Amino acid sequence: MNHNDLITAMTQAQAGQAPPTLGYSQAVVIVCACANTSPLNLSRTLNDLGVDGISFQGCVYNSVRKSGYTIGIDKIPDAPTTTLISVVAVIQNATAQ
Amino acid sequence: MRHFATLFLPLFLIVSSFGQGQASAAKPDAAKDPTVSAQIVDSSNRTLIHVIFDYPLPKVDDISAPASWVIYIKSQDGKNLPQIQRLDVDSVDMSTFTQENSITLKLRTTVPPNVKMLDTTLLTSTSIMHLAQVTDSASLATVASKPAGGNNPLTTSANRGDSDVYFNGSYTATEGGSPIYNVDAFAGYMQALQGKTAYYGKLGAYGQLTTKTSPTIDPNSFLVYLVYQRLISSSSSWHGQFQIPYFNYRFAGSEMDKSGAQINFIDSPVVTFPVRLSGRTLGRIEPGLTVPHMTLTLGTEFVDVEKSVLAPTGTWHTRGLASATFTTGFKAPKPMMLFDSVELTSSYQVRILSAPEIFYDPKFGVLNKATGKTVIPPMLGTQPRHYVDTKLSYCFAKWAAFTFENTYGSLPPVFLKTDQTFALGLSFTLKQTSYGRYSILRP
Repeated sequence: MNHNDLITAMTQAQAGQAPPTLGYSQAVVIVCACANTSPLNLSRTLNDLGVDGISFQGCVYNSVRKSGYTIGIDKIPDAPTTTLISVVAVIQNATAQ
Repeated sequence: MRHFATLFLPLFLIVSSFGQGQASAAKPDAAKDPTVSAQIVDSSNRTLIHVIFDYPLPKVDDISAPASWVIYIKSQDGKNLPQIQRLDVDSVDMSTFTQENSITLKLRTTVPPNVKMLDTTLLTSTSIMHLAQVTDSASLATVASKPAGGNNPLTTSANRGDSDVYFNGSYTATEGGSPIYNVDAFAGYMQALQGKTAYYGKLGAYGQLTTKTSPTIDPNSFLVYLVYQRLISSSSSWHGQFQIPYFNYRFAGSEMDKSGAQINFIDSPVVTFPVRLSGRTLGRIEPGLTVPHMTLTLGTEFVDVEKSVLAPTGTWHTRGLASATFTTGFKAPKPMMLFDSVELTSSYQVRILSAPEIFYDPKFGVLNKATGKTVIPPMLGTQPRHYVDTKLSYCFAKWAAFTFENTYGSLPPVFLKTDQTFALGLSFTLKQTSYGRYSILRP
């Protein structure tokens, strides 16, 4: 199962009983999907992983919205020195739409 | 040359010996303690704390017992005195350790929503590790996500590549000669255009100044513009090696040389395609490796020459713009003698002109016998304007590097052609760990 199928499955599993915030597990799946990487690299930076920050930020924002949650796009870190785990920490707090 | 060697050889030897000392001193610690890169309270279940490890990883036996974890929190309501509370770990979920380098601590009670600080100690059979205190509201899951800087629009950044506002300048007055100066600065700020349910892109402003003393023509440029930016697709996945491309529209832009003799207004829509040279989902990446990646940019620049010493003014023409950047690097995973890291960055851009534009080519320079300086005359032409900049940095210690830079070509607004230029430099970044600096500053 690829990352996007996993996001879809997690969203469907929560239908009707979604928690008020996105949560850690779903945040990890979204961030790893947008960086196209395994969770083994959560401590690596966007630059280490060869990930463009602007595209990454937009991808995370789109994924959070598709999961039924909302967050300000400017609140999603996208600097070259940003670690994936720091993005997880931020977006896990996205609130339900 | 002899002076250069006299100055830098002893320095190099000192640097080398310091690097060796540092490497040998760092070995025992690096081999012992595991690294914890984050601790995060789960926002959807506040009885869970996720602990994420980096290399070197701990032994399973050292972290799997609840008794190994000692957790205290500090919480505060309004103006009341802070409360310190110990949280007991009920169980440790190790199921994600091999797949994600993380574990989950299940607490007997929830982490209260007014928590301000999380303090964790890990006790193993051989060591006591006091982990970094967690105080940011995102990791404590206490707020709707705030950016790292809180309510402040600006915060400090790690380096030039990480900054949105940057200034680096020097000025040296010389008796009986021209002053020597060198300024490299830029500032940009982007703001999302976002409602509760819709996102319309980002709008921002950018300014850049590059100037330095030059014995010939003025090579300096000022650049200011407004910019609109938006992703081209609302997709949330990669397409092979490509991330989602994005659109940048620079408008109300102006580029000028330092003296204001050449002023161009610019309108420029461009599309950027980020590419990673590996289309597959990345497995474990060793600490220090930078996966090779590049960006490809295609677009146009609509130019209105407002003022020029030679080019026709008052009419619009078009530049086709194509560019590419490339970045890769490697950092030693363990301390090594005379090697910390190596990084290669390269950029190329070409502008194809629809009408003649000004340029200066040093090969047509004429020596002014009265002043003894070479004067390069302005010329007009429609030839493509290339520019290449490649930089290789070899860091033989964390704080010192040899840099090799190659540049070629020309940039707007004056398109001063630079023939193959090779520059070798030595750079240091040092930070004093004691309070000696204050002693120096005392009168």
